[in-house]
Parts: sequence; C-alpha cells; structure tokens
Amino acid sequence: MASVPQQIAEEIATRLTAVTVANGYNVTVSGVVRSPRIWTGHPKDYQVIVTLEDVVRNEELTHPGNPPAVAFDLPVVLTGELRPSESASTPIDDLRHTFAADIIKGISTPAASWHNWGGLAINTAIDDVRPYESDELTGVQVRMTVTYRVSETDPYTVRA
Amino acid sequence: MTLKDSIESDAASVFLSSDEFAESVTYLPRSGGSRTILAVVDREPPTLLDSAGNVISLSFVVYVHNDATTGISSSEVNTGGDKVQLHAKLGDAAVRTVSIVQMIDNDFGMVQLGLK
Repeated sequence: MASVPQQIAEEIATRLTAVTVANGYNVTVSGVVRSPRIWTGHPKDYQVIVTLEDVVRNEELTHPGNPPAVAFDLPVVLTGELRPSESASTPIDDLRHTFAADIIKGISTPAASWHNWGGLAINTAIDDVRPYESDELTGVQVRMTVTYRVSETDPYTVRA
Repeated sequence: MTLKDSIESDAASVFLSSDEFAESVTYLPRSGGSRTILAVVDREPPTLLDSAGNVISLSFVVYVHNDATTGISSSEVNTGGDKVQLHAKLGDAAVRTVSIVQMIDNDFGMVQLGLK
C-alpha cells in the first residue's frame, strides 16, 4: 500500500498530465517528473517537477481518540520548467504566469475533489507562485500545502 | 597562418582527437536535425537541478570545436532547447539525452557547454 503523501503526489501528477492545449489550456505539459534519487531525465520546456517537502504535524486539526487521528501539513512544490528559445521575445514573466495559471487550473480539475485529492486529504491551499531563476534554468514554482489526517498507529489509514 | 587560425586548427586536430580524450556525441539543435561530432566530455558529479532542492540530475561539461560542421558554432547554440546525446557513464551501451543549459565559454577554437 502506498503512503498517503505518495498517493497525493500521484494524484497531482495524474491531473497535471491532463494539462494540454487540446484540453483547453494555454500550454501543454511536456512531462511530469517525480524524481528518483538520481534523475536521468533532462530539463524540458513545460515540464513539471513534483516535490514533497518536510511533513509537519498540525496540532489544531489533530483529533483525540483511540487511536488518535493525527493531522499533518505536507508542503508540495510544483516546479514548472521553461526553456524558451534565446530568440523568443515573449516576456518571461508572461510565460511564467500563464504556466502557473495552467498548473493551478490543472490540479484543481475536477474542482469538487481537488482540495482533498479524492478523499486523501482534508484541505489544500495554494501558498504562493514565485519565479525561479538560476544560471542554468528558469521557470515558475507553485507552492501549496496539503493537510491530511491519518490514524496515529496506522499512517496508511486516512481519517476523516 | 595567424594565431587565430592555429588555435582553431589545434582545437579540431589536437584537443578533439578521438585517439586521445574526445568521443562521439550527437548534437540535436532546437531547430531540428542532428549531427555527430567529437567532444571532450567531463562527467561531473550529479547536482541539484532545481531550487525545490531535492532533484539530483546528471551533470556534464562538454568541449567542442567552435564550428557549425565539425562541432557546435557558438552562434548557433540555443540554451532554450538544444540537446546532446551521450553516454552518461563510459562503457554504457545506452545513450542519454541531456539539455544544453549553459554556454560556459567560447573562443575562436572551442565552445564549453554545461549540460543537465
């Protein structure tokens, strides 16, 4: 059985693969990466890397019981790579914001189940959208926090 | 022969000799097509790919002739889509496709490229 964070990451990745021009978006996601220890792929235009950061216990949403239902906040970072041609004249900020908007729209579709990822979580909030830029890469990051609750003694069991 | 001519000639015949350290790689320009060229490949330790901090990717530096036929001309390098196919480890049967993410240096003889 997959852990709850793994199932959430897989659901996010599945939704991102549906981001295509043919489906009504402005861009087509060229790939969704969940990296092994050493990734052997390569940067691509409109590729999204899904990364999970440190899980932090959420005391406010933890419920007593036997066993207790323990809530956690799971920060998720969606890094959208952009590799426009050196001769492209479109402002990089425009590319970033369009890509970010499509990423958010993509993970929010269908809207009824996006915040709980089909029953895996109790809430999701988009935290921020920020550009990222290095000597080698450029793109945009969409950061969000997924809050999920599991049985204290069986973290594979989702608790309402 | 000028010094500039000598440098360019040495780049092709000395530094990029397949009898020494050069090997065949395939250059894939963003604009399409491909060509097999000689390159000296430095296989660097894997490095962080993105600022999220937990994607470790293969990393290479290649040195090629600054020439649009026998190497890669510095004027044609497009870090927004050019790729190279090479062996990630010497002895690997399979080739890996990596992106040219940075032109580190270029002079009359050679072009130095960062790949991930």
